[in-house]
Amino acid sequence: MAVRAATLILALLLPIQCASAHDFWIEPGSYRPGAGVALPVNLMVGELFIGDALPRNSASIELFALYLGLTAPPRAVIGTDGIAPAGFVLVDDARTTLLAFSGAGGVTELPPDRFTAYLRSHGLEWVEVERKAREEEAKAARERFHRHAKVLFTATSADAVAGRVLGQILEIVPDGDPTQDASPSFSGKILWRGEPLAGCLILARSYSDPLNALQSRSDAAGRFSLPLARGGVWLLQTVWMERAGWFSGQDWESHWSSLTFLKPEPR
Amino acid sequence: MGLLRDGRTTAKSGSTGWYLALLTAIVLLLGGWPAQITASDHADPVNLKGPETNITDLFFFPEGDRLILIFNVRRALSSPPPYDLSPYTYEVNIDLTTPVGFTNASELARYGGTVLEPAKLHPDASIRIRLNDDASLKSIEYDKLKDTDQIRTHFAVRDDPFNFPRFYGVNAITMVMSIPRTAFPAGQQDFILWGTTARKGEQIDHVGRSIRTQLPRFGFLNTLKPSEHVPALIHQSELRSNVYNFLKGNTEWWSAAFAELMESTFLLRSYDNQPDVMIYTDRRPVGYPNGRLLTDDVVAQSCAFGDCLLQEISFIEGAFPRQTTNDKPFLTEFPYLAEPWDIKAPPTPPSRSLTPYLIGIAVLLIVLSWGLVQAIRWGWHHLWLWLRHAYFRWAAS
Repeated sequence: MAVRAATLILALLLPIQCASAHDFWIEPGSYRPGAGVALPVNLMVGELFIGDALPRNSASIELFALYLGLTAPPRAVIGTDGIAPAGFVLVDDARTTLLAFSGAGGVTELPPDRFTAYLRSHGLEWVEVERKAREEEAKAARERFHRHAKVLFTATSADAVAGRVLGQILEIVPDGDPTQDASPSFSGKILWRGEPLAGCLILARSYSDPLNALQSRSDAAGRFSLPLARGGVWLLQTVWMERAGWFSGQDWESHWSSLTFLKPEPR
Repeated sequence: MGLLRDGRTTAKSGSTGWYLALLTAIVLLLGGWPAQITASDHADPVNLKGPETNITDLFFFPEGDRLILIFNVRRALSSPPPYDLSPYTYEVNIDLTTPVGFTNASELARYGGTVLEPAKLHPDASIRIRLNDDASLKSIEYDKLKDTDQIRTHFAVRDDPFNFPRFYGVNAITMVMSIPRTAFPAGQQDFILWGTTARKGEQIDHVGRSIRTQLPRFGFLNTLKPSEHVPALIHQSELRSNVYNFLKGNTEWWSAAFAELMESTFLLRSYDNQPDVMIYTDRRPVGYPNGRLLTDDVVAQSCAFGDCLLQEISFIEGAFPRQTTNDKPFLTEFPYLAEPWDIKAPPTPPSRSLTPYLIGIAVLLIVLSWGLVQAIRWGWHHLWLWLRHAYFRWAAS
């Protein structure tokens, strides 16, 4: 309880420091739903597991679907525009299922010092270097951000759908099914436009201790591993950027990706 | 919204837009969403062909070492027997094993708890009743209940116990059962109940938690088993949300106005995705939505948590201040329901019919269509004559 209170206070202070660096994740009504439950699915924006549920906006949704197995066609997540939770989904309790979202976020403009702080906190130092090379380090940064998120629902048995590659622009793909993996570790890969992404910082936060994030960098094959020593809800998150297109009104396009799941207590 | 490769969805698919526009047009032409409303509960405006199938109430509450179950049918009854009861089977099902949770505040307030695995809902015990056409008992079957010889029953026409102005001064056909606790497994604390009416095995009406399937947005649940309710709710929610999102997303003000009209009546809500069953537990104080007592003012209670249609109607049709108790006091002991009201002449049914108007409109449309075709034909013909005449004059000059 004390940890949650401290987290709340910190989260209230954080917007002053880095208003643009809000995490995005999917928060379902339950990570282990019962058979035939219509599960509410919230799209959350905030910090350290504390945030606001975004109302659904169909016009900004590129992908919002539930995946069962490696080959079954996805089921669109239903919902009503202007209302949170953004969707409802009928979940099976027999095998692990995967729900994913991709959509437009918005645009933001940050003064140079805040943009630099944001880059450093998310391991995007190479962007800072490029801004210097372009002599932009003293200029405000205009950025269009995109959101990608996944959540795994725990069921009776594991399923390969956990590692299914969906084609999100920035995607976290676990090895195996972490909802059934009781070992004190997590490994996976980060894909950028379907290809392994090297040098990308990934953070892992436990719901029970969100202040102490674990971090890792992906290697040349896009692979990473994290020592997730405790069970419970985990949020993995990463950000990557690219220079905005020639005709864009922005300088940078950022993509935020997350994966949430319920890890069993390590044995 | 359409699905693209890899399951991507888009709201900008052209073919989907046309589909939604067509679906919306059909919905608006039909004046709402009544297609699935094939049966009803108590105050439902649908006029049933077989009113004896119409479930009006389900009550369940403890009384000492017994549990009282009251299942009523045939709303607004004021006529003498015979009734058309013999073709129908009245059944109450009790699920004793599907787990129920009591931690979700919203579901606790609206439904008395949370059915944790709705796909597994099933009857562990059942009571099947057939009635004679004078409302007396024809047969009763107990399935998987013990000590059935100690179950006390009463089948008769009695006062309709529903506190609602439209049903003051009228009766219902009532089935009252006082069931000993020993009929159930020892220590049984949680009960999930629902009632149905059926004819030749085909389910016609359903009741679970009070004031649920009589709301216009839930009509489709009446013919389904509870284990099928959540998938059906999700399916209907998808259809209606797609139409709503389409209407809401257009620039025309009237499109948004139709969306708002739809929102309050036909759009399924975030708190609707629960199976329609009655939950009763000994862990919490009895009273709607934890079971139901005869004295529960369920109209006001359901309004407090988001469903106010019947509350409004009770103000529209009733006196001020709104009455919060039944129009006849209940008995303190079995069979608890008040004595029936005297037989009286039923209200005169309407004698006017819409059929002549519909025929008139159809004839008018046919005549107008014929006139329009003739006018176009005449216009083309004379245009052609004028052009030909003009050409010959030009050629001659």
